[in-house]
Amino acid sequence: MFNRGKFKKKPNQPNDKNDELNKVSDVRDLFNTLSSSNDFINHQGTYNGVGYWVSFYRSLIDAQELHNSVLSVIPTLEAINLEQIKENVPIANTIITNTKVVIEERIMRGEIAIRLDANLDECLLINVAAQQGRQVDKPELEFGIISAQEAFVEDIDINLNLVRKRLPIPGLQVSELTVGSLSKTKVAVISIKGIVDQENVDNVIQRINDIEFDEILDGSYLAQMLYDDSNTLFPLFLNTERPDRIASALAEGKVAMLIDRSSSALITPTILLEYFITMEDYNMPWIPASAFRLLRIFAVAFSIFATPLYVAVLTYHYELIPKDLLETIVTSRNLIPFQPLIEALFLEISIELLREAAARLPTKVGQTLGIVGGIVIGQAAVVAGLTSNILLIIVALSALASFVTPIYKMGNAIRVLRFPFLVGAQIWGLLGITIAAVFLMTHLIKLTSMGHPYLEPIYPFRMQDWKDSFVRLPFNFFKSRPVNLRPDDISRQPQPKKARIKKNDFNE
Amino acid sequence: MNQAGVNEKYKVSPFYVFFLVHSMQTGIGVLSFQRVLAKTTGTDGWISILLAGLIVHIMIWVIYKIFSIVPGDIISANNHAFGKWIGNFFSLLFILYFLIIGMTIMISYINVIHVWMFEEVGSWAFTLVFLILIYYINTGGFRTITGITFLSSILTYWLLFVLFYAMKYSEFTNLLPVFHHTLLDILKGTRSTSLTMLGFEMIVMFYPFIKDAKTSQKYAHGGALTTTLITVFVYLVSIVFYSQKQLELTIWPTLTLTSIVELPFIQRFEYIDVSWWAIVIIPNMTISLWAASRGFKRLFNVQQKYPLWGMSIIILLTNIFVFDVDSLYILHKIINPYGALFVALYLPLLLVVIYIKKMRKRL
Repeated sequence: MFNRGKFKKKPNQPNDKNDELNKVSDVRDLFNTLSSSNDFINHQGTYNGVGYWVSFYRSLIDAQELHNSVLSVIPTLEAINLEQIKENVPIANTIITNTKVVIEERIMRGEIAIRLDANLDECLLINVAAQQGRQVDKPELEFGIISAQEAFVEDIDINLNLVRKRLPIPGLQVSELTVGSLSKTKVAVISIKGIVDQENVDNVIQRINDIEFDEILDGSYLAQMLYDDSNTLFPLFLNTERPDRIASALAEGKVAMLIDRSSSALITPTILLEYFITMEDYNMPWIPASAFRLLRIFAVAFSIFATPLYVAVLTYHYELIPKDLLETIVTSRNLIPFQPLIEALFLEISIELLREAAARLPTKVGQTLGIVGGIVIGQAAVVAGLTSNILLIIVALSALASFVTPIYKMGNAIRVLRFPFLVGAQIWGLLGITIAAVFLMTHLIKLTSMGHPYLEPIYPFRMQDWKDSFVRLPFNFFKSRPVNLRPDDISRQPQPKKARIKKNDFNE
Repeated sequence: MNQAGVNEKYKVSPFYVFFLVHSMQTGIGVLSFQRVLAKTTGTDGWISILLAGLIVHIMIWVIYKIFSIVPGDIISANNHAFGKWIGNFFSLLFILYFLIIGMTIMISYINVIHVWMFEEVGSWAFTLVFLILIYYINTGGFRTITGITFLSSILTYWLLFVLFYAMKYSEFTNLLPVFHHTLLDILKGTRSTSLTMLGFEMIVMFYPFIKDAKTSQKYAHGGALTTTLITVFVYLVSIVFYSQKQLELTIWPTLTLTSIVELPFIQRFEYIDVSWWAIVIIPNMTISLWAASRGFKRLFNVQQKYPLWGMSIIILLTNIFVFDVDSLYILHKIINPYGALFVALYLPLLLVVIYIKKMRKRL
């Protein structure tokens, strides 16, 4: 209308000279900005009349390395220029560049920049980063008695090394990505090419690239952002600190993720039953291994249903209990002024309190608390007539049972699950528990992990995958990888070996 | 209009048809069919059940025959046979029928709960919880419904073995005399088992959701056969457990049977039975309401949740304003002759019409 267009300033036509100037000021700007922090060192030196600058973050580099491999090399040179230094420094992956982004990133990762007075915007970048962190140690959370005794640490390279040692094949592929605008966390997506379904890997990488969050401090952050459905109690990605677990998952055709500065690696796609599997199950003969696995699954069922059943039966259906047993229960409850629900909630919450407090306390105090809390409070509550003996036994057992899951996060889910069932039991007794169970079943059927059904092999029913679910069959049944993952290469054993018949006089 | 095609992602394997048919048939009818059957047919009731089973097998064959000529579901078949207007009228009848079936199942079960467990809780409370649950299952799509159906069948099979416990108190001479009822009585008995046998007709709605649907016919027959055999077994156990007169007076013979069970740590087994029966009933209600709302969606091109909400509100209002025994009386009157006859007469008629059309095209 008023033709404002003509008042708009035209943007400067960039020309080569301008560009050059910009770049110069860019790199110098960068070094000025960095120098405003007190732990950034600009060391000036001269050699043969040529001045040079060495700039680095004091807190990120290994001083020993700097003196031995870089600064001690300079006096041995006949003429000083960046090329010469680069030739003579015995460190790999050094580059000469003048692009600001690269310089910034590498200095932040613990490299030193060497510049000459003659051209202050060309840097030689040498990696002398210090490796600070834990040494590889025993697993704390997933301890195994008869399995490997090493666990991941916080450093991604050490972790990669632990995995690669178990899978020394060129097919093991690592794609490194960076997530988080502040933390710039390195994430390595690992899979075995030729076994894994490439679509899964692409999906994982795609989803990681879609994350826009400022700070990724741990694997669990990443896992929650990658879930198909975030409104769930259940962990959809298995987080583990055991390298052998990662190796076995990769061999089955799953995708693993290692996250820098986090000792828990992630596995995807997972199924529900995987969370009740320990690596020890494969180190034992199949019969005890299956027995212990069934015990774990029974413990989880007991942990969810025991207290609600007590509440339901004693509130509504005490006719269910035979006379003799009823006498025992009535005598243990005859002094208690509360409804079964209040009684159960009181105990459940005190157990949860104990657990939470024990988890926050230093180890030495924690043991004392266990004795005081568990024994003294429990016994006193019974004597005071606040709870019945029988309920105390049930609650203690179900608390114990919720700890048998090898993966801690699944234990958390189980503990929270008890409370909706308690409410159902209070409202409609056994019927309430049944309805809550159907809700739970529906939820589990709906869940998917990276697009693969979570309740497999129960539903969708796949016979081939039952060999390693509730029970672990002998290894000669492990002919194929899980169908659920749709691996490119399905067979684990090229030809099923003929079982050798033990020769003795009986079957000669 | 042609949304009968379903994305391959949402389909289920053919062998789940076994569970879909079997679990849809086995529902509230198994708890209470013996009384009416005993009145009309007495000791020859099992013949009536076998006859009903035979009719079901013929119907399943008819359904698969229809869809082998016109792939899709009942709505596209109706349109193909009778043109748009009349076809849509019949489709509406089907939707209404599915809704009534779902409502009957729910109200019958709530009635059972009222009599056996909680007398004083209002029907609306149970209805509300069931409807929320059904809605939650439905939002998962047909695969989730199939999953719940499958799991419920697996989880409830152990209840069959409870019946063996009752054998301790049986009088096997009650099985005699055999073959002393007229054919008319046996046919009447067949009619009275319809509530136990109905449910297979849901195939007409979920047929497009099956992978390689043609191959699923044997599973459908297998499901129907299993239902027939279980029904016969339950009836025989009831006959030898009760006397004839007693059976005619017992409203839920199957539940009364189980209340005899006494284990060292459990008495009054029927509480567990009635509660566990919820797992059997929920898929039935879900599938019938899913079929009704899916039909609505296909007819009027609306999202499936709106008809589902509408039907839920209808059911809820019925439960608030009508006492369940009264509404049950009316619903059973509708289902027993009319519903069963509607399915049994209309489907063959449809097949004939479609077949004639096909022949004409050839000429």
